[in-house]
Amino acid sequence: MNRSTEQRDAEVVKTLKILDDMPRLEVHYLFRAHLLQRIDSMENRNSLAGGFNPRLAFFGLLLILNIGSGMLFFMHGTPQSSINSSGGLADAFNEDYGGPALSYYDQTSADRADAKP
Amino acid sequence: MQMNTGSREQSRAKIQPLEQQGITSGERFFSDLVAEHQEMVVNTCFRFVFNREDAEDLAQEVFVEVYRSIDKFREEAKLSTWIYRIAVSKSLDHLRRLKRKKRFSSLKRIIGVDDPADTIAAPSGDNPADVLADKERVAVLQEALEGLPDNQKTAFLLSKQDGYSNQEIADILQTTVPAVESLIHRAKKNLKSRLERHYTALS
Repeated sequence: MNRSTEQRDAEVVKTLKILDDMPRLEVHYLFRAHLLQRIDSMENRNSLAGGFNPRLAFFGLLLILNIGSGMLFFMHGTPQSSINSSGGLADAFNEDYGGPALSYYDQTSADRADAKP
Repeated sequence: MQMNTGSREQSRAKIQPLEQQGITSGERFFSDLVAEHQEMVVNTCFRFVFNREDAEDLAQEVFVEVYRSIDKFREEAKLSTWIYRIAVSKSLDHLRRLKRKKRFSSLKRIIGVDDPADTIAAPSGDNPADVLADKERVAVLQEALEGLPDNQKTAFLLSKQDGYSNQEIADILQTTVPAVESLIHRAKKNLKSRLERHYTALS
């Protein structure tokens, strides 16, 4: 074994020894206090946002959308019904003034005229 | 106050007398749980991250996670094993984050933007040369460990810490004792060859 290999092996041993020599840490005396404080503030934040339930909010949104689309339907439905009623009125006029008594063009008399030589 | 933490059932048994005394059982239970496991958790994290501050921050995160998800704890494992498993996974996550950050900072170095967070703290020992050499060795060791697969790294680092038997490591890794022994053996071999390669390249 040459010198460089010995040196390398010595370095490897020294490096690996770091893990064996690692000190055992004493936990900071305020560790638990800090942790409990952190959890307390986390809880407070949660309680502030406690009224917010995502599922409930989603259902609320769905309900609003439903009501909104229903309202849209009714709002568009009303003029359409007036159009429908005006259509009905037009039909009634057609029947009133389109009868054979008031017609200036009689199909049967026209047919008879065509039949004459 | 020493707390029996064998399982959640045992923990509940501990809570009941406290409730009878009118003490907020949840808070007291959690506080005792932290008191019992904080040292082991901090030291476990320290093994992975080599830095006291990071280890304590990670330990805080571990206990916050424990607090949040204690309801999800299944009694298949010991409560302590479950806590140490969280500690290991948080530490591994931290190392992954560091690796990403390192890649990003080397990219920043390439484009000429220095990250002040990367600068090494001033040595605090008596002999600056020794301290520097130790710092270099720590960096080399960290780099070599970084190259190991997570399960090898975990088994090896936990085996180096007092308080973990191979059975406990097996429970944490959810594997068998022979598998843990094999992981430790492979990790040692891998680590040694990585270090040898590094020092050979230097000389």
